[in-house]
This record gives sequence, structure tokens and C-alpha cells, in this order.
Amino acid sequence: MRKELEQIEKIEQYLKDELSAAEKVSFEAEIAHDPILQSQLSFQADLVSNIERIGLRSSTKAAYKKYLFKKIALISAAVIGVLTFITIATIYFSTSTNPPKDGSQDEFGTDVEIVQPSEQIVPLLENDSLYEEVDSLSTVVDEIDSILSEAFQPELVPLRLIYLPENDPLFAEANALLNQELFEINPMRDTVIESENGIVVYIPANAFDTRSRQVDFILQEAMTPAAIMYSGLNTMTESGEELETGGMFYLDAFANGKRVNLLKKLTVDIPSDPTKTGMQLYEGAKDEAGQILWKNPKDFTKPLLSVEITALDFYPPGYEKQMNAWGYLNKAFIDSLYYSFAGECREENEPSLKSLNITNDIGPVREDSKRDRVRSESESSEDMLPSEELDSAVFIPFDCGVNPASVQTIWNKKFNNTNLATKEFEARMPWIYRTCNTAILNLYINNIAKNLYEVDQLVAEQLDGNLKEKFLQFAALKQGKVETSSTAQKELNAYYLTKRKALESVIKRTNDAYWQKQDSLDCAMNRQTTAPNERYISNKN
Amino acid sequence: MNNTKIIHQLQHGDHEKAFARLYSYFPKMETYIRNNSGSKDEALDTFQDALIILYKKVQTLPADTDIKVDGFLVNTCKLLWSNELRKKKVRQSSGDGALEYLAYQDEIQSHIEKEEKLVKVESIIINIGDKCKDILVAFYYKNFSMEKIAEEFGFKTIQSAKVQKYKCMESARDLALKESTSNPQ
Repeated sequence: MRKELEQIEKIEQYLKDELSAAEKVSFEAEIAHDPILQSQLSFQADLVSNIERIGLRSSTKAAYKKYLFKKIALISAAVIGVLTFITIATIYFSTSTNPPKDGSQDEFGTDVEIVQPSEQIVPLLENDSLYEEVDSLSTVVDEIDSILSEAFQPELVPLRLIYLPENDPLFAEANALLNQELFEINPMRDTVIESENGIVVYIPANAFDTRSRQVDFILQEAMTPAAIMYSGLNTMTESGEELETGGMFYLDAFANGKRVNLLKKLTVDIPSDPTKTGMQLYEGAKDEAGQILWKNPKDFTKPLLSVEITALDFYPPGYEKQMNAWGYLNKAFIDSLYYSFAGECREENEPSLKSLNITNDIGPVREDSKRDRVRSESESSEDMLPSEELDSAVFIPFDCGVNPASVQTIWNKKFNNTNLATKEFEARMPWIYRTCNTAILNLYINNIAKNLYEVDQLVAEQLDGNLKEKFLQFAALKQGKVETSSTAQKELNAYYLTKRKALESVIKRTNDAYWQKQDSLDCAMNRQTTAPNERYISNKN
Repeated sequence: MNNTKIIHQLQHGDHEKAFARLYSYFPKMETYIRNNSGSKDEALDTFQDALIILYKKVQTLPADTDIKVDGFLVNTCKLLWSNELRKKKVRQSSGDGALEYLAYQDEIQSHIEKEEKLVKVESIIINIGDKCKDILVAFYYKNFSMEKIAEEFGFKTIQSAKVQKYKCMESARDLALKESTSNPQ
């Protein structure tokens, strides 16, 4: 080793107090006489504490990541402890030897029978009040949510989590890894909750074996391959077969910190890929190694094929195509333009069903002329808008016959797994627009629990001419329904109503605020350019 | 949060865990700093500096004595931030009056000053290269043995790892020397 390096070593030994007493004395004497050595010594001491500092820095950063992760995991962690291991998965049985009876695609797991958990007391951990600060969602969302949560009792409690202890009989590692959604429900009442990924759980009144007035219902889901992998879940059956899963979830419920038993069946709707056939419902069971294996496959009832509702086209006929032709490709924009018409409809009372006597000739013709108006502004008809206003009002051609707010309300994930979220219903939408009446749409919404063909029949009775024919044809298809319990359906209907009102009021208010702003800007402009504007006004008069 | 437990963790090499728990005060401090003309990043930096100061404070804590970890941490953040603001010359006028005397203030200030001196050396370490930095951190911070360092960094012998370590320190010293001659500050 070079001499310089040897000196560094010596300084280090000195700093670490590793020199013998004699060496120390002589080294200190050396230092006293050598200013260069002194500065080297102090630099080296600084260097070492600085390195420590750098290490600490990276520790604080690593701890921050842990903290963030823990924050996420906290919210998610509680997800898995549930009523039962209802870690039930909708699993696709790739090796299935019994294809579904009618060859159609099953997609809902309904009537999930929940296995009674063993009597185990699960201590709840204290909620961590430290995570008080939650980022607030956009105000509109907040508002709608608050309106909904006033009307509906299950409340998603974002900050409180239930931690399943690792020795809990139902605990699996996934419970600690997946997001937890915790709903505080009143067990005396029927409750519908919807998870982030669209699992809808209908909980009938008195479903739990408890006298408590509050049950903490938690839901964890691994609906995507990424979530399944992340949470370490697998797709192995007890007998060692590989499954292809459509998603897994876990439900659990606690009252006063103790797991409560389930007395009634819950109904669970699970969104899944409609193109998969042979899906069955499996229960999860923990093996000795703590792995969840799947067992007891069950078929579920085969209802209408429900699809992801946002993937459907509920726009007025020609609307999207026209928007695209004009270069508007962004769905958010197209949506928002369409929905913005809702406020304008609001004052009008919805025409009663009887008022829609659409006759044989008016029906389609009106429709055509409306669509033409989108394309050509030259055509004149009595209900045409003055041409100068046409630019901004092109899409009122529907005369607000079908209120965009109604459409907006149903056209979202809350209505996944209902009759409305079906290709069959999508096929009816253009014809519903053609009726120019929200009441027709409402028939479908209000009778969401009925078979689609029954509603078709009801609708046809309200119509005349071609449209009647068309809906009779629909009825003849005898298309059934998306299976949900009828009580659950009522809850959903109520949900729909409340949400629609909330949406309308928010849209109205946003519109009003916008126009108010616009007006004040106009006023300001007018003040600046008084002269020309006065001319305009006098011309108009 | 359990004060004694955190102090124990900080003193016994479990400080990363302790830090992770202490981050639960971060949202509060973030709000404080953001309300006082800081950004989120600055809040994070400040908070991490405060964690380091708390760590060092706890290392020097005589046995059987105690501090209130949370109070110390929060006040350190506040003092660090008020120093930072003074440097940035923000709200000089209303300035220092905004902070009343805080518990542990004097101790914290002396720690802050020590840290500030260290920060100057930090730029040098950054310049000696990642491998050197990692070796030094492994030895001085993580307390790895030279055997382990030789293995981890792919040195054939312990001796060559040792030599490399000293070379790294030498180059740091040379850099510092260069810097102080070129920039007498």
C-alpha cells in the first residue's frame, strides 16, 4: 500500500479508536506537530460522518417508500378478511369437461353461498388517525357521492381499515396485499354496495348474526391478472387443476371487532369477460402452507349477457359518428358535450307516456330529418332552430326527447351487471332515441329487474306504427334479464333515481355558473365596445 | 405512537422502521410547509433532514433519558424550514416573529448547524463516483465487514477491497483540496 493510503488507514484506526495506547500517544504527538495531518484528520472525520448522513438519507427515502406503500397497503390490506373466505373467484375452468348446458356464456356469480367461518375473534386494530389527510376528489364527484350516501346507507369508509391478524383462520397473504374497501352498513336494512371494480353485493336485511347496529363489511378484490399476481393468489384447484380466472374477491364482515356469521345468502354480481364460457364459481380454502386453493365449483344462473357498460354506445344515432367526422375523437369530450344538453332539458316536464303518439309517418321521418340536420343546415322545417343558433345547438335535434342526464346516469359502471349493460339493450338504444321520450328509457330503467322482452312488450304498448313493430320484434326475441335479486333491483332503481337527480342538479349548476361567467364576460366586453353593440341591439329591435 | 419503542428502534439499527412510522407526521408537516411558501418536494427534503437530526440526537441520548420524539421531529422541521425561508429571504419582514420559542430549539439549532457543515462535504462524495460512494456507505454506514464488501463489490481479496476503499477516501480528499484551492469559500 502506498504511503498516503497507509496514512489514511492510520487516521481511520485512530478515529475508530483501534490504535494501541502507545501508538495513540505517538500519533497524537505527530498530529500536534503536523498541520497537514490535522486537516487530513478533520476532513476524514467529516467524510465519515457525511457518509453516514448519505446512508441515513437513503434510509429516510427508503422509509418514505415503505410509508407510501404501507399507506396503500393499509387501505388495501384489510380487504381480504371477510365473512368467509368468500374468496370466491369466478374462475374459468379451462379444463372443464362440462360445458355450460346451453352453450351460452355465463357471467355472473350469483347466489354465492357463503361458508360459515369458524368462530374466531378477530381483534381489530385501532384505526390510524394519522392518515387523516385524504386527497379530496373533485367537488362534483364529492357532491354526487354525498347525495348518494345520504340516500344510501352503505358508506365506504376510506380511512378505517380492518387488519386481519396473520393467525386468523381466514387470513391469506393476499389479504394483506390487496386494497380493502370497508363499508359501514346497517345490518337491519337491505344494502347494495359496489366495489371499485364493479362487484355488486346485495346484502339483505338481517343477513348477519349480530344485534349490533353497525356491521363493517369489507371487500377485497383481485379482478385483474396484475392484481392476482401482485397478491400472490393462484388459480390452482384442490385437485391440482389449473383454472383460468375471471377475478377473485374476498368478503368479510365484523361487528364490534368480531367476525359475524352470515345467516342469509348474499347476492354477488361479478363483472367478467362475456366471451369466456364455462365459468364457474369456486370457493377459496387455505391449505397448510397458507395458499388459497379453489374448490366446490358451482354453476351460476345464466342471465342476459352483461358487458362493461361504458363500452356500449348509448349515444343518439349518428352522434358519435358525426363528432368523429368533425374530428372530435376524445370520448370524454364527446360525452361532456352530449351530457351538457341535460341542463337544458331540465325545466321541461317529461312528457307523459300518453303524449307520445308517434305515428307511422312521423316516427322515422322525424328521425331522418333530425339526422339530416346534423349534416345539412339548409333544410328547413318547423322545429328547426334559427340558423344562426344552429352551430351551438346541432345536437338538440333530439329535442331532448331523451334526457341526456338519464343516459348519463345509466351509462356508467354502476349499471354494469344490469339489463342496461347488455348488448341487447344497446341494440334498443337507437330505437329508444327514436321514440323521443325519456319515459321509454325509464320503462327499461324502472323495470330493470324484469326480463328484457317483458319490458319490450310494455314499451310496444305505448307506441304506434313502426316503432311499435320494432319493439314487438325485440319482444319476440324473448331476451331474458341480467339476474339479480329483485330486492337488490329496487335498491339499484332508487340508486339510479337519486343519482340522476344529483347529476342533473350538478349539471344545471355548472351550466348556470358557466353562463353566468360568460354573461359577465360579455358585459365586460360590451362595456369596452359599447358602440357596435348598441347598434346590434337596435338592429335586433 | 410509542415513544420508547421508536427510540429503541433508532438506537438499535432499526431506524428505517422507525423512520417509516415517523412518516405519519409527514402529512402534517407537508401541510405546514406548503402553507408557508414551500413545495411538496421541499417538504419531503425538510422532513428527511429532520429525521436525520432526530436520529443523531437519539444516538447521543444518555441512557435512561427520554425525549418526545414527535415534538422533537416537528420542531426540527419547523426550525429547518424557517432557516430555509430565511435563506430564501422569504417573509423576512414578518419573518422570525412567526416562530415562537420551540421546545428543544437550542439543541436542534446546534444539530442543524453541524448538518449544514456536513452538507458541504456531500457534493464531494457525490463526485467520487457511485462505486466509491457505495463502498464507503457499506463500510461506514451499514457497518459491513471488509470481507462482505469484497464479496459484494467483486474484489478478489479483502486487501484489494481495503486498498480500494482508501483510494476512494484519498480521491475525496484530493477533490476537497482542489475545491478549497480553486474556491476559497
